[in-house]
This record gives sequence, C-alpha cells and structure tokens, in this order.
Amino acid sequence: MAAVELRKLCFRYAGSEKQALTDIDLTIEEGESVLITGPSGCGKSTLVRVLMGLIPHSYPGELEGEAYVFGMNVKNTPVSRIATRCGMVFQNPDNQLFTFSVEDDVAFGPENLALPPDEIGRRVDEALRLVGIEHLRHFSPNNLSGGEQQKAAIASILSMRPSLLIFDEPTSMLDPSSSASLIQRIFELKRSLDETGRSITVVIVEHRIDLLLKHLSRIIVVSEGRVILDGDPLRVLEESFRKRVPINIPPLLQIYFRVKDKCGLKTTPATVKELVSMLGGGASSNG
Amino acid sequence: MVKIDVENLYFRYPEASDYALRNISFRIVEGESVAILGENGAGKTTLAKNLNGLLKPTEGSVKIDGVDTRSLSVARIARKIGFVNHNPEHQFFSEKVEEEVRFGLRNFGFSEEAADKTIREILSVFGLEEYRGKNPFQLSGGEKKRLAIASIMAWRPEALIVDEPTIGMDYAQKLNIRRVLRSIVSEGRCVIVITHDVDFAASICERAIILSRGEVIGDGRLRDLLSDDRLVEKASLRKPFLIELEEETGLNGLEEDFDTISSILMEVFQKCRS
Amino acid sequence: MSFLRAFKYRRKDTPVHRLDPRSKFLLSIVLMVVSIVFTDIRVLLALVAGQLILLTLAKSLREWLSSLRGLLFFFAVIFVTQLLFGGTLYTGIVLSLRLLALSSSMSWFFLSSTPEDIGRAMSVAGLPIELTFSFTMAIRFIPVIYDEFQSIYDTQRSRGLELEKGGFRNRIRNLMPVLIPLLVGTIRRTYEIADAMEVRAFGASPKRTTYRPLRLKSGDYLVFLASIILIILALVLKLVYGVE
Repeated sequence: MAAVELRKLCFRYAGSEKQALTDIDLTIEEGESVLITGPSGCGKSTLVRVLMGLIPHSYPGELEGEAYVFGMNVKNTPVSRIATRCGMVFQNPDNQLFTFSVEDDVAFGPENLALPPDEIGRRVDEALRLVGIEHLRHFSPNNLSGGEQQKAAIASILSMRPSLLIFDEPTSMLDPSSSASLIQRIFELKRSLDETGRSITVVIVEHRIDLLLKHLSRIIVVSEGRVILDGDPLRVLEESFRKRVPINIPPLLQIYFRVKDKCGLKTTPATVKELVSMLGGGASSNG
Repeated sequence: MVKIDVENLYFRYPEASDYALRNISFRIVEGESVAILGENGAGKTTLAKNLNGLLKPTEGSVKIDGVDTRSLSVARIARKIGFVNHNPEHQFFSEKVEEEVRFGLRNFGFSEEAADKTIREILSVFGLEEYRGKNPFQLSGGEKKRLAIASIMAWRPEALIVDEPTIGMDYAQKLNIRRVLRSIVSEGRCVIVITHDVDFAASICERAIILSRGEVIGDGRLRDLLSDDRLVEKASLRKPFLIELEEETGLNGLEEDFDTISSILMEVFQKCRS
Repeated sequence: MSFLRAFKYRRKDTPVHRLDPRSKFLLSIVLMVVSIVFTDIRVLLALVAGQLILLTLAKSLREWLSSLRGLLFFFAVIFVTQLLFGGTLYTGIVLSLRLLALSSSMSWFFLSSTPEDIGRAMSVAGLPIELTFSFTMAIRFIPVIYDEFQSIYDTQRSRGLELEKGGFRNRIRNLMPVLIPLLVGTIRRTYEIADAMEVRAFGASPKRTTYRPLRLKSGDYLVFLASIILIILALVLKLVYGVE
C-alpha cells in the first residue's frame, strides 16, 4: 500500500478566489525521502496539510478529488485517527510545545491516545533517544533554543509512532548550524528506524535544498498549485534550472549545470574543490 | 553624515545574571556597509538595539554623532538610524500599504503633502506602487519585507539596521532584497545587516563584525574575516561560496552572477576550451 | 516585579517539591485562612516560623528572601496608613506580619509546584481537561507573547511612536500600532497551536491517560494530617481560648 495517494486533487480556501491546489496526482511509496519545494506561496504547505487531514477538517474550503494516506480517505477520517500513522512538524518551534517539560510534551500525544502509562514511558524514552535529546528531558521549552525546541517537537511526534513524518519548513526560523544539525538528525533517525524494520517515510517542505540533497530519494516541485516537476533529485534540479523555476538551487550546482555539457563533466561534484579539479584546475596551477 | 561610536559597551538585561554583550568597541561611519554576523544567541540583535537606543548600555557608551544615546529619545535616534525588524508583521497595523508608510512620516512631522509625495516615490522605488491600497497582511512574504524596509526608508534615515532580512525567504525574494539594500548602499547611506546568512552578507557588505557569546571576535574587511578558517569555525559560521570558489580557483573579484562566473571558469580552464 | 519571583516555579529535588500538588494546595489554603483569621502576634509569628521551615525544606529561602524587597513597599504603605489613620506602631507590625504570612503561604506552594501539576490537580478535582489545559498553556505562553509584544513595541518606537505623548485620547490611539500586530500575531499563534495539538490527537479519546499519574504518598498523608491538626488547633485557639 502506498503511503500517500492523491488523485485529481483540487483545493480552494474558503474566501479565496484562487485555487491553492489544482489537479494534483501523486503517489508516495513507503520508505521514500521526498522534498516538496517551490516558490513561496506555491501551495506546498497546503499540500502537506491535506496529507495530515488538517485540510479539510480544520481549514474550511472546497476539496475535490481523492486523497488517501495509508489507505485512509482523508475526507472522512478524523485528524486524530490520521495522527496515529502520520505526524507533522511545523515551522514555528515555539507553537508546538505546550507543557513545562520536554518529557511531558513527548508524552502528550500518547496520553491523548489513552495508552497505558508504562507504554507511554517506553515511547518517551525511545523518542528522546532517537532525536538525541535525552539530556533535555526535564527542560522547559521556554529555556530551549529554537533548534532544541524543534528537536523536542520531532520527539513529541515520534512518540505517536508514525509511519509518515511530514515537515513543513522546519528550519526556516533556525540559524545555519542548528538547521544543519536538525536535518542531519531527521535522516539519522530515519536510518535507525529503517534498520529496526520500522520503515518510515519522510516528506519535507523546505527552501534549504543544499542541506537536504544528499538525503533525498525524490524532489517534487510545486508551482502555482500544480506539480510541475517530480523525480530523481538531480534531474529535477537540472530541469528547474533550465526552466528557470525560482527555487534555491545550491550555488555549486548552479555552476555545474551551466558548464557540464561544454566541459564534458560526467559526475556531479559534491564540493567546490571537486568541481575545480574536474575542470582540471586547482588553486596552485592557476593564478 | 552619521557616525556611530561604540566604546567599551557592556550590556546586561535586567534580571539576567550574565552580560549579553561584553567590552565592545567600534566605529561605523557614513557610507559603510557592515554585516553583524554570528550564530543565534551571540548577541547580534541586542547589539543592534543598543545602536539605535532601544536598549541603553549597562556600562560604556554608544554615541550617535558624538551624543550619548542615554540622552536621546528613541524617536530622535530613529530619525537618523532606521531599524527594520526581522518579522515585518510585527509592524503592520494599517489597512492600506500607503498608510503603513505614512505612519513614520507623520511621527516625524512631515506635512501631508510632503508625505504624499514621499509615499509615491518610495513605493515606486520598492516596486510596490500597485499595492498602494492593498492590506499589508495580504502581501506575499517578500513584498511584506520590502514594505517594511520602504516604510523606514521613507523618511530617509542616514543609516539603516536590518535584522535577519533573509529569514524564511526563497531565492527570488532574496535577490530582490539584495537589490534593494544594495541601492541604499549606493546612495551613500550606511547599511548594517544583522544576519547569519554569510552568502547574503558577502553580496552586500564590505565590512563584517563577528560576534560570539557577546564578544566581538572579528572586525574588518568581510572577505578577509570570512577567509579565516579558524574565525569562521569559532563563530559557527560557514565560508561564503564565492570566497571558497575564489580560493580554489585562485581567481578574485567574482560577483554572485552564475552566468558570468561560469563563463569565466570555462575560459580559464583549459579542459573546457578543447 | 521582583516580588513575583517568590511565586515562580523552580525545578528542584526536595521533599516539598515531591509532594502531591493536592496535598500542598490543601495546606497552603489552610495556612492562608489561618493568617487571615488571626491578628494575635504570637500566632502570626508561629505561622511565619512554620512557613520558614517549609521554605527551608523546599530549598527556596533565597527566592523568598529576594521577594521580601518587593514586599517592603507594601509594608511601608501599611505603616503610613496605620500612623495616619489612628493606628499604632504595634498594629503596623501585626498587619505587616499578617501580609507576610499570607504571601508566604502561597509562595512556597507556587515555588514548589509546576503550573502543570497545578493544572493536573485541577483536573483531578473534576475540572474538564480543556479548562485545565488552557490554564497551563496560558502560563506557558505568557513569556512568549511578552517577547512578541516587546519586539512589536521596539519596532514601532523605531518608527517614531511615542506612547507617552499627547493627551488621553491620543495615547489610546497611539496604542493601536502595538495592539493590532500583537492581536494578529496571537490569533495566528492560536491557530498554529491548535494545528499542532490536532496532529498529536488531542481529544482523540475521552479516556485520556496520564504518563505521570498523581499518586498520594506517605508524605502527602502527613501533610493532610498536619492540615487537619492545624484547623483543629486554630478552632480551639479561637473558640476555646478566644485568641484574637
């Protein structure tokens, strides 16, 4: 069963004349690591709200077409039911933690599911370990940095044991080193869950393509409410470059795409050094 | 002719046990473009708020054109030194874009006619004239940012402090903001950009002041400072892409325009010409 | 504001912190009532001494002491009004002691109980989860919203806003540039919080469990006992011996 299946999905927010999403056809298989990107206001956040059932249940509007998450029809499944298979981490770290200790926040979801206390305890321990924040267990969110808050938010989703993790611009309020550490953590935890056989699917909405690229299996580019590109990360980025879609293509690739044909480059450079040496140069030989 | 003198500045928030800023001294003069760099919590915003009188030094002094900020009102300083918040929505309260710009002008005693004229001019400079009657909250993220800057630049302050201008912005929006800030620099005004986006800083600023845990650990030409691996590491920053490229290729004077860079690279390296 | 420090929870590991919030709340209420009912200086002194023991056990004497500075102002007010309106130095001292006993009886409770524990005690007492949760969330988000207010106020001051300028009507109008962004921001925040709660299945089951259920321990029974003895003692003093 696919993790996500969207058929001819259209959505218009109540009170808006513009379609936020138009004719989206999309299948995401279990275990994938997918980046959804596109210019600001393109509809990517709207798209992931549908996957979580927040649309149509919390946001009024007109939803047409079909949306299934692990076979559940989003239209008639309550969010709290979808929440047992899908978790979502949002942009603003501060607004996702409601209690006075990280531990209690991580327990919050399982408590709502009315799980027995010892089961909750096991899940809390596991979630804190997966995100690497055992040392923050008793901290109040008010005393955490943005990056730490965001990790606590991830842990508080992991304790629900979701099979699909959705991130909506998780680093947009963080500085570069916290962003890098957060992204690193997300894919490390995916790997360690995959190893134990509890494979999870990651769908992430972001502008920071540079930090994500090496972890992705697929990139989807959304523009004006439509999926305009979808597939292998590098191929999609090159297409976006050719079609001048305004997304944050990493500078190294910006140059690589421009010179690769003329210079006959076969492989993609991972660092500036690699690019320069592929071109047959180096700081010492040219001056 | 603005001049900001910071001398042995120490700052501690009331109730806090530790200093947020320690022993900071520098001078910024008109026409300079300065990036204040450092990771979150390094004290960047606290420093900025000390420069425009929103916060007053606990010890030491900040002088604007020779006058201590302690003896000036925030409004008096703001007339000379504009401050743009990182979140544009923290300033919008009007129903119309033009009223948002008028707010500052009215506070600073512009006549209605002068204000009308200024609003027209500034909205056109910032590419916002078509939104004149629109609700600021309905603009896109990039437009909101530009409106926030425009509503400050309207009264023509001699210096502008911009807090985290690129946060949450996509590529196209960043380019737009860069263009706007560069044009302010080219008018000979002083621009102080607080950011952790080193590539963005490098594309606008000549000078950098690097903060780490409340102290200045570097002050000088941005290119020199950010080429220093140890300093970059210590401040938890990253080397800007262009500086890295220049170091690897031995080229210099590269500008962030990938078409030009690519053709220069293809010209320089033998392999591509054959 | 320094006097509010005596009410701000600090995480510590002490016998008082470990007590169940319900038993602490009961004792706190009893102490409060006793300090209101009596004016006899001996009773008040005994009360303050007892609370000092509690505060010492809770390792919170320092916070309590630093709050005294804030109370000084109120003591001054008490003395001045006493002397102006026919009281004596003695009545001034008694009233000040009473205020001290009253504020301390709440202080040790708040210093040693998380807002969450208080919320939990409220829900055990039969209040609906939505209500108790709103209570703890309000406390959780007050500093966050205060920071936002500060940022907005700073931004508007940097645009030349001067709140203190002009007459009353002008001042009210001047508040708009601060209040509107704050309101918009808070409403947006509320929606975001609601979304974040939804995705964690808030309201999924009417039989919500708690990870750390409140459990009464032997210490709590001791506190219950102490509270009851205190009530009886107070009644005896008042009714039998006629202590003021």
